[in-house]
Amino acid sequence: MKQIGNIALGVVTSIAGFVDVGTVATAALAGAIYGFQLLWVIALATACAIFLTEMSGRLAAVSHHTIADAVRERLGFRYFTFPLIVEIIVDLVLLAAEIGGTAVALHLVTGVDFRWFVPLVALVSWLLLWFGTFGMIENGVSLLGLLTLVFVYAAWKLGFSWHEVGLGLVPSLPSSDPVKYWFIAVSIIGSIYQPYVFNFYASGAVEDKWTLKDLPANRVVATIGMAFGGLVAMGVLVTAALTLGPHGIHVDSYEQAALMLNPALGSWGVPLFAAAFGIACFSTVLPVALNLAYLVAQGMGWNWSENLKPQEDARFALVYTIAIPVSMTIALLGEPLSLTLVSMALNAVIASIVLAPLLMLMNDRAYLREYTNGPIGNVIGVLIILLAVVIGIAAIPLEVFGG
Amino acid sequence: MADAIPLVRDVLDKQVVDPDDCRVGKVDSIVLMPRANRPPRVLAIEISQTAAWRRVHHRLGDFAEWLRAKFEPGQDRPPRVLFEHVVRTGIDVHIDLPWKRTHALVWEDWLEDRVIAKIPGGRRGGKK
Repeated sequence: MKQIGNIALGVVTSIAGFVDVGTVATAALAGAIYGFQLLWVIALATACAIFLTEMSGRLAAVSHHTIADAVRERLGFRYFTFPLIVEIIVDLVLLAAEIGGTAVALHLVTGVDFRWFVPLVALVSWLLLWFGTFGMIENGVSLLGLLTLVFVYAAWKLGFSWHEVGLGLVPSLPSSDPVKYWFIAVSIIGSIYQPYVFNFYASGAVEDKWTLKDLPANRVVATIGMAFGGLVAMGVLVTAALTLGPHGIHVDSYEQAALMLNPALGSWGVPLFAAAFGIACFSTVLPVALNLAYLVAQGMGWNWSENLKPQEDARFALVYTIAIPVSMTIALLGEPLSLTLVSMALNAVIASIVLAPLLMLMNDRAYLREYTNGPIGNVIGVLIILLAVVIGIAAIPLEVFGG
Repeated sequence: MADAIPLVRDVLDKQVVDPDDCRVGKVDSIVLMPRANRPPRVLAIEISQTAAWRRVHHRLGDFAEWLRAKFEPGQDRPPRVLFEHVVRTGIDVHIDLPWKRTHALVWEDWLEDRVIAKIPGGRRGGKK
């Protein structure tokens, strides 16, 4: 019974981890401009995320090491500095986008300029990390992420054609503006395929002291949690396609995206959008800030755990204490939606650099013992990495010409 | 003959763990002692940012050493753990010394005293 409870909690946490500022922004943009046509990209990216999450969890449960740990240990410090530096930069921009997104949600309900809320969100996030524990962050904040299911409810209430959804799930070429189409496709993948998610998931497994007994739960949580996350992203896309697209609203700002729930939920539309969007962003601020600290501490071999008091892992605590004000400054200087799209494109660029070593590690018997990848897992892993390489190469030109 | 230890595979860059499972650092370099007419002896493992960054580029190593010499509290050379204290290798390097005796956590202690303790809630529950 306890195991089922843990799995349920894990699934809920995965939904919250999956849906963030980027998922909402890119899916809304896709639905508003291309209708259901980009649903297949969400399905593809979600399937990849399921495999990568399961692998990250398995690595942690069997070896009690995270991806950052193992990459440094197996490939050496010289190689490790490359993913370390690029992931620090990308995570700082992503953290800024999530802080900005939470501030925009508060702006939507109060009408006050979002910049006033940026320092407040940063301070509350830091306080939660400073005084909180991993369990509180993982379960408490993430439970609120269930509110994002409002997008699925809105899509269902508006009524949609299953036939059109089915067609959207089949990969297709755009009828117009192919550069923008592929830019949005890459951004959607960047929003789901975020390298921080996998190291954070593995770190969480080490924090929660997973063992071999947790392997079945890991498989269930990775599959159902990520699938539900993909469902929420599809809910955003379908709702945007049914409400924003027909009115020619192309989501140039979050204020426009906030209108998507009005046809289904009336006067509750904007407040519920703000609540769901704000919680989706805020529940990602904490994992991204923590992941920055995990990444540096694990790579350098420092003591680390969110369950320790700051005095017990001073360098770990100092990393997120510095990262939050840095990202807060970026959030104050940038435009939230642009910042989000840039961070999603950057995620796509670095995905292959960060994830390719994972596949190698999943075949390392020193870490995985008899739980290494089988032939099917390896073929899928290679395909995912190849996709990440193609997307990484295409992301920057698409960002310049289609963003 | 005892089992040979592949130094690069099973020691370099691995997590150093003390007897209480405290993470002490990573093995940033391995120090060998040359001997006349005999193979070099493995003297120690080094836990040192200077050594780690020098492996990326010698100028980065020089810069890290300059920072260390100028700012590192109360220490004139990077911490070394004699190889005789290494009890097990593999994906972690286990040593029989408690972390305090390795001197690898001088920055951790310095930060705790000078920075973390001064932030409200930083040292709740007393000094570690």
